[in-house]
Amino acid sequence: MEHTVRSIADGKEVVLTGRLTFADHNGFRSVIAMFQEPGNKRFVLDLSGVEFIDSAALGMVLLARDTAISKGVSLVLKGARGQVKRIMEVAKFNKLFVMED
Amino acid sequence: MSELPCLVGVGVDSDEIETIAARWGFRTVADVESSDVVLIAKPDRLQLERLLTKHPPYALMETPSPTKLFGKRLRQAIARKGLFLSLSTCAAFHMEIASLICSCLCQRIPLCQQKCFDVETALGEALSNAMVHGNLDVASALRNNPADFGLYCDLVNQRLATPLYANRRIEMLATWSAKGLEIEVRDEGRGFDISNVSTLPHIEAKCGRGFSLIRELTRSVTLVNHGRGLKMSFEP
Repeated sequence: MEHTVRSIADGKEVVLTGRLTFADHNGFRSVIAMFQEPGNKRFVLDLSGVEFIDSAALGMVLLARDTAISKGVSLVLKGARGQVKRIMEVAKFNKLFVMED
Repeated sequence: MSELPCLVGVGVDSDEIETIAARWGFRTVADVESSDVVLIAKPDRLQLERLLTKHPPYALMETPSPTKLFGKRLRQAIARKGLFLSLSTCAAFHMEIASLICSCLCQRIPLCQQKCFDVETALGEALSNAMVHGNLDVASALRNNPADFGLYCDLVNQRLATPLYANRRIEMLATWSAKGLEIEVRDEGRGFDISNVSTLPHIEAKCGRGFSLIRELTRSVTLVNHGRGLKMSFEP
């Protein structure tokens, strides 16, 4: 997994690319740490460049959500497609996240 | 008398290859193209990708290979023209082997894209469970909340750097026929207790989804080898 960050109105957009799996724990650690920085009201995780996700990475996205909630930050998942979209549907992520195309 | 299966070494001392061939009944060959079994030292993803575009070989094993590897599952892979892989956890961890194996299988078996997703997802779950919870012996409960997540990361990194855990083997055997595809994943951990996953995970659960996902995506799944192995079967 690779990630890049850009500023958006009220917060940040994190663009994730590649494969999101159990092996990306260190990468997720820095993404989650970013959620704890003050001054953001909104985070967008752009998943359009993600080709594969596993259940461990779903869990890490949920950890990001917990962190966002505790900091009063809103979190949006954007652009899930293919296998990522299918697995997030199976996991009923639409009930937990705002999902944008 | 049937012909002996052919063995080749990649980055392995030729004396070692000759010794293994004599002990386990292989014929040594000079090139990968004509081999059934490849023994490879310090494999990386590119090497495996290149080796797996050809079929045979039916087995790829990282050296030093423990003697128990030259057993039933290796013979099965050769006899049924399947695929057997045995790697150390430290080699396999960052190699994204689920995608590697899956693209290799997709070249050999006609699978639609949806089926490929399902096989890769289920295989990925089985392999990550085997590596993280089996061989590295790190509990998934540490992924339950953001406060513990740093501890989880440190523990995984630490175990990957500790030979006792990092050298534990991960094994995968895939065989296929007109009746479907069977994949078995084995580890050297304490063994997985199925009674912990009898119920569906909560929607907000950060861990414990892997096995449910496997159940959902496979025709059947069974635990073998006292919880140190998982056998999955998929519709053709």
